Amino acid sequence: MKKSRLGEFQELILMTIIVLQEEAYGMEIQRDLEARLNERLSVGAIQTALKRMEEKGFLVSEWGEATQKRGGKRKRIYQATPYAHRVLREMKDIRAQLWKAMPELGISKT
Amino acid sequence: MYPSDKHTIPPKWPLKLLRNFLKTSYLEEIEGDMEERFQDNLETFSVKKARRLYAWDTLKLLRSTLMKKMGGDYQLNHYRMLRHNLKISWRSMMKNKVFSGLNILGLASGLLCSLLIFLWIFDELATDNYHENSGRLFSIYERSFSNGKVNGYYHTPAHLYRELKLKFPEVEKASPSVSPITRTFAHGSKTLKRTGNYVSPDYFGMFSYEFVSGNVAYAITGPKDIAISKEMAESFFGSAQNAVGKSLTYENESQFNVSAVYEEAGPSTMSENHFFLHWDVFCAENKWTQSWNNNSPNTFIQLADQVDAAVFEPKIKDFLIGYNSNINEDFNIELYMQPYGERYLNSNFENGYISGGRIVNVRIFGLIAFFILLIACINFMNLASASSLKRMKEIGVKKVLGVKRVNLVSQFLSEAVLLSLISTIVALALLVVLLPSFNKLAGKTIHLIDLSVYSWGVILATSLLTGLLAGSYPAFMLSSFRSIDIIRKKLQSGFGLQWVRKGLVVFQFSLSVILVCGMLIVSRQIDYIQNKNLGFDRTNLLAIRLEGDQGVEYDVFKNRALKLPGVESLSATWGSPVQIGGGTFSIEWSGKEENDLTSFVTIPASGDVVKTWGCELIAGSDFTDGSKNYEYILNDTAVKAMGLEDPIGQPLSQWGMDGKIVGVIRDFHFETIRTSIEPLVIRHATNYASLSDVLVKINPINAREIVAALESLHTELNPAFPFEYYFTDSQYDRLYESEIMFFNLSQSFAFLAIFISCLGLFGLVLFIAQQKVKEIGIRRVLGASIVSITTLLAKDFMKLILFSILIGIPIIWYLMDKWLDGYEYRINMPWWAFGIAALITIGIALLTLSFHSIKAASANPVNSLKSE
Repeated sequence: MKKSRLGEFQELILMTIIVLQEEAYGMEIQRDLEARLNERLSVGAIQTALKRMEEKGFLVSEWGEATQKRGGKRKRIYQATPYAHRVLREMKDIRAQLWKAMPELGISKT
Repeated sequence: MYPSDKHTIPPKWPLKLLRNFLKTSYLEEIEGDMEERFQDNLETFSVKKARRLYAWDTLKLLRSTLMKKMGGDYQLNHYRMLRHNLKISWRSMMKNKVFSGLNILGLASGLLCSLLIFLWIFDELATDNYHENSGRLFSIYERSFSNGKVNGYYHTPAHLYRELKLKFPEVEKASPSVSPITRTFAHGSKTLKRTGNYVSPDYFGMFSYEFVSGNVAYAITGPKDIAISKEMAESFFGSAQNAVGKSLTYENESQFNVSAVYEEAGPSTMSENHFFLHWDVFCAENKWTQSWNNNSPNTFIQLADQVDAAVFEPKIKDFLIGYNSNINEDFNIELYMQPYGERYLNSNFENGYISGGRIVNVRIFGLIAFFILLIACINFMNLASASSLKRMKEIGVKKVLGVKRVNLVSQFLSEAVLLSLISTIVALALLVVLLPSFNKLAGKTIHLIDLSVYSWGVILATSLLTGLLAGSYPAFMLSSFRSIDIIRKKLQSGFGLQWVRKGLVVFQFSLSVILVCGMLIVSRQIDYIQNKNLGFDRTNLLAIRLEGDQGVEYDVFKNRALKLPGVESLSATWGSPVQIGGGTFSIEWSGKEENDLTSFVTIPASGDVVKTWGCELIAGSDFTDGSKNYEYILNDTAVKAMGLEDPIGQPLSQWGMDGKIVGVIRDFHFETIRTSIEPLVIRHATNYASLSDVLVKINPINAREIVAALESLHTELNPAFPFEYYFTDSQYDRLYESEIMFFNLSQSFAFLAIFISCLGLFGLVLFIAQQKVKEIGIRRVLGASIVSITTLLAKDFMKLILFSILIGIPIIWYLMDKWLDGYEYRINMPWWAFGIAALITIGIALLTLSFHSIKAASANPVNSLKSE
């Protein structure tokens, strides 16, 4: 956890990948996330996050099918590693603890 | 794979960018993603927008994580070489701090100078060129044909704008304008004078202004509207927002309502105008506007969209036939159009055709910028090739190890570009410091923040090109040596190298001599202009505007003013004797031939005009106030043009006012001395209301008290108008503003050129002294004097400099002779200027040379000899 910190945006992408399962390739992730966040993202932002996470060992990837829409280029399907699952869970726990520790007053104020 | 006609392809260049910079292993995936996204976008957006988004997304992909690594498997060899080159460059720079310092200083001064000139040129080119409708705006000019002479001018009839718009559907909008006129405005207790103009309601639709408040479309719709500048609004009403709807008293008689407050949208020749009034106001004030035979205001038109100016222009050519009753077989006026944006730089007429103007200055300064930059580049080449002897071993070893020539060339080029970029940064820093004083010198208001991307592009390109140019000679020269010669030290003083170096020094100093000499001659001509005896005494001549009740009370004012101590004489005129313009054919005298179309310049004046102006009366007498007859005074040229033997008492009539010639004065210059003296007729004005200025000749000893006394007299007689005055010699100087500016700038640039050249010289001497350190030591030990060693070091260079002077002088003589030919009254070529320029150059060069030579010669020989 200490060395390979997961950024907020990276965490969102990671979770999207797990949700999408076999369909988790660049554009699909981007489309899904754009719909959830309701804002336009750039290919660069998604790709950077994917590559960084792959480097840090959160993701593994392999070539998928090529489609006409992609101009005959192959997709790259991403899959979260067990390590990523563990880190995600850890982060969720930390968040839950923090939420619990926050005084009621502070929550109702925001 | 699938039919390409159904498939819209993403733009090409982003794809190329991707393939060049993205990691190869990521390429297929990302390219596919991008393509898919493009197809997605096509469903929601237009093709154009989808392509734009594609390009934008591509740019956003250029992140370090995704780009080819500058190492490992994806290494760009070029990049690594570049890094290596930069490292070596940096090391050699650090090793030779003095040399690199000289190099950077020289290049930075050269760049600074050309940057300043660029900024000036950009501003000149942008003047009047920023209007939204720029392509459709035209200025009308006239070409008149009489007695086989063709004249061109921008003066047109006052109602031409209206008629052109009525008669031609191609003319969408039209407006007249005049030279800025000073008027008095009042609001409440505040009374101020401002200069402004009179235009048609179309004016603000044609020319782009920024409206601070008020409505653009209704800026001047009626004769009671006035549009004022932000500055004027603030001085009267505190803020622009307060101004709209308020009323202003004009010339203490009529009221106008402020309809809009505007601000200039760019550098403009109209920037002197602080108010705009309806054209009808001007026509009501000036009865001459009713006649189509009088040409004075400018006319601007805006063509409708899609109208081809070249097709339209011939249609207006003969438009004035039927309007101007003077037109006959012997006399004709034709109308032509000039694109409005070109007028600022091209407004001189020669034989009726537009020929240059300010554009000449733009070109000359452009050339100066180029040459100064060239001098700086040569400096760099010289220093680099001299110091490169030290780097021969580096080159030799590299060659032996198999480094190709291309790589050596790119090494030296990148070194030069690095230095040039550093110099640019230094130059930009200096620019920020110097810009305010430059603006003052050149009469500009340039701010770096306002610069367009294009301008920055030009600056960056100049910097890179300078680097490449400066680095080209050392790069190609040094990389051409054979490594075996280098290692065997055969090239210690290669003949070819020295020859080129000498040539460069000669070139550099020739340019310096040319610039210094040019500056000296320009300064002599300006001096001549300013001190030339114009035939009238413009010193201590004060001008006050005649306005309000003063026209009526002029006699009272004159009588009381003459009683003030120090006031010598007074006379009222229209305008001032420094700048009399406009001509008329309507002068009749006895013995005039029927078809005579001599144009006379005329000016009305009241009594004591000759005495006040300080002209020399050849025959007859001055005007006296109170005389009710029409009287005329002519200048010598006018008498000659009329062919009169004994002019005094002869009848003369101007515009049907029959009178007599009462006096003849010696010719004096009443325009710039670029032109020759024309025939002048001074008419005795009986009606003071038609005059505009009172000229007062004063005794300079107590000028301050006299002005104060005149002011209290003026305020007493004419309380509604603030007292304002100017001295006519300051007005005279303004006629030569562009010459004076030209001189100021060329002075700075000439010295900069010498300075840069000397930096180079200094560097070369430094280098030679280092090379010959042993020789100098041995000579010293054997008894040579410091003087003889200094001479030894400097002798060769002095020969070169003398040679440069010989080359430079004929060139500058030729150039300056052409420049002086532009003046009707010019100085003779001052030969001493060449001598002075030569002396200055030799002197500065000698100083530079001896500075280090003496140091090298007086060093203790023990230090230089003991090392081996």
